[in-house]
Amino acid sequence: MRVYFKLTRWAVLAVGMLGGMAVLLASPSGEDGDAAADMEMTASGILHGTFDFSEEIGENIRAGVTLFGVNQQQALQGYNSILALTLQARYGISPASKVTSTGPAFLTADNLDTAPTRFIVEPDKPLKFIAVQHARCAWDSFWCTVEEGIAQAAADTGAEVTVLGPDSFDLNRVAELIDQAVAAQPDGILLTYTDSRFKAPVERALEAGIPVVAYNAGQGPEVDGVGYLTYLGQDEYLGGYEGGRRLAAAAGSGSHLGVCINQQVGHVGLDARCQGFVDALGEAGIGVAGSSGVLAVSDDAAASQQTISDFHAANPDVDIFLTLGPNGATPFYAFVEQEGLMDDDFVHGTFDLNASIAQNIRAGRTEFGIDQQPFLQGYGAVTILYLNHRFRAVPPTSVTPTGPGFVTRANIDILPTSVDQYRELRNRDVDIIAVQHARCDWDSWWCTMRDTMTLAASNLGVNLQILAPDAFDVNEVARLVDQARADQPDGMAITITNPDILRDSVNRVLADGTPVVGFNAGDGPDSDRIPYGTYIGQREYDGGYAGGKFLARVAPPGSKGICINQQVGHIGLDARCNGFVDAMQEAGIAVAGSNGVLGVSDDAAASAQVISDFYASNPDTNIFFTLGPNAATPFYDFLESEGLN
Amino acid sequence: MTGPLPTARRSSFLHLVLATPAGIPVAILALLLTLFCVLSVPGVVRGFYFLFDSRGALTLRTLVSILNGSVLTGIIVLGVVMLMINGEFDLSVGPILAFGGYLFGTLSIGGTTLLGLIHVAAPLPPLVALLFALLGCTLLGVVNGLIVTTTRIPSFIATLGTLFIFLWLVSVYSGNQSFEAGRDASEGIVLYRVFSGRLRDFNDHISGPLGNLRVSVFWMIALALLMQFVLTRTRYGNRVFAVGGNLQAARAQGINVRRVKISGFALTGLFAGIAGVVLFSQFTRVQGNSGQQQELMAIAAAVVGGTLLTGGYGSVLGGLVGVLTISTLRSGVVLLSTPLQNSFIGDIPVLGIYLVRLTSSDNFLTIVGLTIVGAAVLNSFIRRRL
Repeated sequence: MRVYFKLTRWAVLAVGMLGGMAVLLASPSGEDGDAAADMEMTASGILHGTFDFSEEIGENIRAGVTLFGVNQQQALQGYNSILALTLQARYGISPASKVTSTGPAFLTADNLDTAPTRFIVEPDKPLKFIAVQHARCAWDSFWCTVEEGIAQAAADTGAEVTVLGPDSFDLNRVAELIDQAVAAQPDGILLTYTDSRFKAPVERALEAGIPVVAYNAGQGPEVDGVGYLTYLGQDEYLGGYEGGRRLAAAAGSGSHLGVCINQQVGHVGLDARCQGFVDALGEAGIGVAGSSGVLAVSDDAAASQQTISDFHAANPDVDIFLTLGPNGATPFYAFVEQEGLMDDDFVHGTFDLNASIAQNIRAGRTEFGIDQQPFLQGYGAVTILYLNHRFRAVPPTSVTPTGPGFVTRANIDILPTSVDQYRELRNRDVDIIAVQHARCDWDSWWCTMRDTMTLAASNLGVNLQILAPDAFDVNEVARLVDQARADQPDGMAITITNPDILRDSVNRVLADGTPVVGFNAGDGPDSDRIPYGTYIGQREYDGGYAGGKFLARVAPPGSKGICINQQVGHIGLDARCNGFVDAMQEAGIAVAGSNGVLGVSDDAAASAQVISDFYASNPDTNIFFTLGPNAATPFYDFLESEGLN
Repeated sequence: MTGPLPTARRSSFLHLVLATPAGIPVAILALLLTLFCVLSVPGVVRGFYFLFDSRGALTLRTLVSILNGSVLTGIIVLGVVMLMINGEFDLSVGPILAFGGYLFGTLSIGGTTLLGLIHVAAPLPPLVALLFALLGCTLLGVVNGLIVTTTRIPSFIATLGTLFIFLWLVSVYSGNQSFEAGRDASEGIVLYRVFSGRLRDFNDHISGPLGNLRVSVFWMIALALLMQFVLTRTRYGNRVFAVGGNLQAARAQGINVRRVKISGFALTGLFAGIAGVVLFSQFTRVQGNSGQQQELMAIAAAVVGGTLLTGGYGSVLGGLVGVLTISTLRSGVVLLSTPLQNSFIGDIPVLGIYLVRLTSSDNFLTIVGLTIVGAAVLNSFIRRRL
């Protein structure tokens, strides 16, 4: 026995010494030639793009080492999360769309010095905006609500806003007022883009360096063909779509058939509403009447009622109705009375509100009236200009939806309807708790989030508390959500980092009736399967995809890409890599490894080692995509060690 | 620890190699390298290479990368091993590292506000910043030592507590912000390069992969030799072994157990602080979660290196070799990944998927886990036979 162990010991030693000798013997030859060959192949063409921004990334963008930082505009995430919850808690204004995009935008060498960073631009500079609109409060109470939104946003942001409008409906006069506004050289102009004759004056404003945003009337800078920031108004398709989903849900199980009653077929906005409705029913597996699902009526109420009756006689199975405004709802109600239909026989929803629609909502006959939320149009336009100044934040979408807002039996008596009611509500105490998966001290990126949230809270006069775990741990985030729920806040902003882990906790908060928005991490209430209000951020996949497209555009033939992920298993970061890989493959570019992902960690030294080793075994890789400062830091270290920077 | 110490029984050459616990991990590391070499012989596995390139030549780049990647844990492990010989643990080295990095970085760069109170407008001389950083970290170690010796709660619990307390301290100190020195600010500070510069920064003649070797590797080796000397050749080292091996006996010998333990914690804090300084010198960036998991990596390395959890037995060189082993594995899983996928192993039904997946940087920790268990079993097996 003893001999055996002696032998074992000697064997271990011998193997060790042999190994050591092998290492020593093999070292001298061929090394330099090999390294040089590697360099020749790749030194010239490393293409690097990254998510986010840090001083180091900025330096490398300036030096031409890094092409871009994908910018999800965290200023918009932080500010808008608090704003959305506050508007909901104070005025009952709900988010219009389930995803409120804040990005992707790109930080490049061209815009780096003017683009948003973590710093607030000229925080103390007083801002002066001018609003120009085609109608005034004195004519129509609708516009009083818009103007109240403008005034409240001015008060909250500390900006000074002057509202200009014609004495009577006169579009030429409005165009003149826009030119007057430009001459006054304000810090921004908000206007109703009612007519294409505003194009020239708006272009003059843009040439003078004055940012412009449109509200209430317009179709977005792309369709209108003029480069203002964005258009704030109702997304008509979205209104029809969300309305269709609600009606499908209200109809319940069983077989149903739907129809969209359109009083102005051919009107782009109204057609879009019907299309959204039809699409939503289709997704729910519900058919529509006729070939298109649209019943054309007119603005003549009596004739329309007859058309609806005839249609119903021919299609008695139809039980889901959407009307596109009072001019469709009025004949519809008359038809229901005349036919003696019971409320259980059908479900009905409509756009807009008037006295009879409100009465039918209260009676439970109509599921909802879709509100374009005029307060938000005025309020949002001022806020976008403010954020554009303070953070150089740019709205990522051509249309920024303010509607659909749904007025239902549950909230119809709570929602403010007059300016006085808005004013009564504006000082309502609001407590908001934000629960997030990361902290500012791990990643400078989160400092901007904190700063913008705090700024929003101070502007709006709400109490804000930010909770985060001590280490990345989604289970701990879920526990913090439960803990925050015990404080009964008026709203919660939560990073939906992993919906499966957070679902139960967030659902408990929602069951309390507390509004929740997801921010920064998430994919929207539908794909996360948690019915929170809206996801405010960049869909991670979209950011990765846009980054991959950018790199693919500049990549030479025969390129090969890799996504460097510092938190494999983090759903958001994984989605970024998926987007990147998809964009690569669409462009016909190969990815390295089995799935194009290289896992590193938050430990910079170890990550630099991993990247260096990866490059040693994959020397033909020339496209590198990092997911933030914590992966970019070791990547730059690697570039330096390879002499590639 | 029960029974007599192995050192009391034998004195052959073989004993010297295997009984100083470094011998065993050196053998394990050599075994790993040999295994990789054998697998690299062309034809055994298609296109398969690790430390050797396709022509059978050692890639110095890989060796340099393994050494560079082992520095932080390699410095921390020196304190951790000594403390484990002392019979204690320190789970709080992660935040101490971050604290050291922040202190050194903020003080040497300036322009920051500390604790929301003191505004450091101008940078301090780098050496003074270094002094403050190391003092601060040593102090945290002393706090650990005081808590453990005064309350007599197990150090595992005490330092688990201070792990979170020190995290809080780091977050307060840093104002919850990561700290980075821009390129301009850090360019002029020579001390950064003295700690973690590349060889080629100092000498134009050293180019190629060797030029990438960082000065910090030499710091790590020098500190390890120093600690080895202290532990094996000085009275203090003797006391450490005595206290960890048999507390009552040590006390009976008149050793001031409390002082030995507190100084052990202080040294551990000091080494974590040095690691923080090296981290900031290399990346000129430190964040609140810097050093995360270092405490477990260091203990893993110590265990692989033959140090006993029960105290009284171990060596810093063993710990260092443990770190190098782990670092070798880190490189190994990445380097083997692509060739393995293309080899016949990738074609093995079902099992192939698991084998290939194991060699991916995502699964590095799995490999470390297997190594810890394997090394611990091997260590105890061989030690029992001595």
